[in-house]
Amino acid sequence: MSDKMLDETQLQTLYQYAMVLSQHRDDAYDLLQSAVESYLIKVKRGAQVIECPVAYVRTLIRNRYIDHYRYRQRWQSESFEELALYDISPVDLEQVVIDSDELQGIWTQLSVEDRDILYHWAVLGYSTDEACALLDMPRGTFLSRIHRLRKRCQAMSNSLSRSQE
Amino acid sequence: MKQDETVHAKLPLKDAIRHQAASEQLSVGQLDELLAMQRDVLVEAPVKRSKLPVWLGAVAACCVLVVSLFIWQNSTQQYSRDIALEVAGNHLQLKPMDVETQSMTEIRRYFTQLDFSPVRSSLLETQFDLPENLMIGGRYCSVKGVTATQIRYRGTDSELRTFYEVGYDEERYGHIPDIDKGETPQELMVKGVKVTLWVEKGLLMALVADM
Repeated sequence: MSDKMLDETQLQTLYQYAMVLSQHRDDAYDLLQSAVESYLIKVKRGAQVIECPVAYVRTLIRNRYIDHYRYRQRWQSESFEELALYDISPVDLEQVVIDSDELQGIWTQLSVEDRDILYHWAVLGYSTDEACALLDMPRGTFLSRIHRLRKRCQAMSNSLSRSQE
Repeated sequence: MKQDETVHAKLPLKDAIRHQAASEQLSVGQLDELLAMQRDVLVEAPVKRSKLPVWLGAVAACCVLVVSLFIWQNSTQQYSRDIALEVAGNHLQLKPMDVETQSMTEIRRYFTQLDFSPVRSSLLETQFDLPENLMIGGRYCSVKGVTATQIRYRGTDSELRTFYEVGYDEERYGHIPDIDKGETPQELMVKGVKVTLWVEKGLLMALVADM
């Protein structure tokens, strides 16, 4: 098997990323398929050495998602800095606990930019600062979003607690 | 395909997100399709993959060959021209003969300070119409610093021809056509005379004739 070939695990990981962005299985598969096609064309031409195929295809997926869906879903390419200062640091994010049902409820309501950042932080292991830099998002914007996320988690948690009582 | 697994215990956000992301899986059919797509390009068509590098390699090899030939041809031409200029100069000076004879045997007997034995070239009779009896005589000379013979002939047209012989060293004289290998003698026009160069029997030979 060629070392340039993406194996099953890598394909599953890339599909999961496409799902994080699109939240739609058919769209996610289309994104992955077209990104792999582009990757293969690049490899076939041999003009450029691709050292990390998974990272390369992940970037293709993200770029395609922005290109294809930004108008429909209004990808927030314009940045906005909220002036309010929140006392949120990466440590705080690490301390947030949530159960899977809560997250599933919140996950689809999050903006695609938030899911993208959280995926880079939780799954790919970047710090929140690194993820912001990588995804070209101002840190202030991200922190304000995390603040809202925490509030939602808190509200969801309180709601579940009340219903259990 | 969504996994039917639900975790109700509280998890750190990071773990919960990992679990959430991992819950989405490609179906077996989708996975097979993507793997097959890659195999078609990366595994079953290795020739196509190597097409560009081979093409580039061929072009590079051709360029190297052309440049090498150009350099080799230029250097060879320069060597030949240097020899032609030297022997033409000697011819034009018409220095007196050291020995006057019409016999190659006499010539060989006279030239004892050479590191080769003077011989008759087959071309003198077949191509230049210079039989032994048209020989006038000979003298020592040098070609590019190496002791050589200079044998003068008077052709049937009464014109003088000067024939040179010296031991052939390709490093010193460059590539000169070897008629024993079927190569054609090289002709150069310098100083108003025609110089023909060739290698025969391991000797570099030159014939200078007025035009």
